[in-house]
Amino acid sequence: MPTNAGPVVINGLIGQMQGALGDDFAIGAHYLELFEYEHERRQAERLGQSFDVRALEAAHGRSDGLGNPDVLLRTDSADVGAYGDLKRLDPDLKADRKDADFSRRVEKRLREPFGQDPRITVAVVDGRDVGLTIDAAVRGIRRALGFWRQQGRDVLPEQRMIVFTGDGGSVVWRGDTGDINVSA
Amino acid sequence: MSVREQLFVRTDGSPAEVAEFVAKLIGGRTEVRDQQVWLLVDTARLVPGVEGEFGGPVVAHNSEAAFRPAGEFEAPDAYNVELRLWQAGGRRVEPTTGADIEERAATAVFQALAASAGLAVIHVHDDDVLLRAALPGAGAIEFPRGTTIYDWDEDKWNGFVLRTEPGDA
Repeated sequence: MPTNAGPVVINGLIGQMQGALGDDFAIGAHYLELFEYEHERRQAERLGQSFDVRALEAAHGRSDGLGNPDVLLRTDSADVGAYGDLKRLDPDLKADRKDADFSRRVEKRLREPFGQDPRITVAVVDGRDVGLTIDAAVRGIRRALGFWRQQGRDVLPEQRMIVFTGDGGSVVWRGDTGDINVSA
Repeated sequence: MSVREQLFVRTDGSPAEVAEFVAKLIGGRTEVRDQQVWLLVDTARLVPGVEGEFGGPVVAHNSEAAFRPAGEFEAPDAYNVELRLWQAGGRRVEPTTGADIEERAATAVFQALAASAGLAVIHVHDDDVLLRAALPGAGAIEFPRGTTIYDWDEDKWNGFVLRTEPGDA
């Protein structure tokens, strides 16, 4: 992208653009040094238990979206990759009695990435630091889906919502099946 | 790296007009991409000594109140232009102090707007933390850390957050 320092190549490492990785595919989190916050690295590492995760550099040079995706995720060597956004529940924020289980905050974070950037198809919320329960994760996902229904917004088959819970497990919604699955 | 800084403005102007106005205020520039206006500024103009480029798209913002369960509302509901801002091409964290550079840069944009324009503005961090608000005639306020955009914190907003939606007045 053009910058004041002249043309600079960003996101030019293997797997930082969409495309199948072939032999370069490797489950795990890659380019973690691009994350400046420790909670971002921890979240990418958790995702890396199930996906090939490639961290992305922030850019303003993209013309195809209005967001700032954090990662590209792939499930196998033929997967071209899905843009994902990493959100978390900050333990400094105290629960309010009107949202004692954090589910409204989960909903907010699940919907935001999809809001302005059609490239982003995976929203990830890390609830480990606040001890998020499985029930609250499911409730947050249902709230987000309920909001979209009210809005008349179509669900896309490639969309995913992934929530990490305080017990170390995850709750995942898939747009293609509509299922919400809980994993330990 | 996710969009972590948002400014919401209540205005009669379009997103493009808001972007132009802010660009002039802070010594930045606007660009149109795919019919979308972006606001961009050298980060050093906002946070001295920091390399990089700060900014992002300036978009129309519509209230989501109609799609939520009855009785729920959020601070940005009555604001109709949104600035989605992030840092590119430079550090996001100040290496010695650990200060959040994006938050500081967004605060500088907020302060320029609050000081110069008769516009209501709020600054939202990390999706739902309400940091500060400005209201024409009333000035600006910093909220205690931990104040959120959600209805349960309305008392903490201290009257600095507009609640009437455009067209309702």
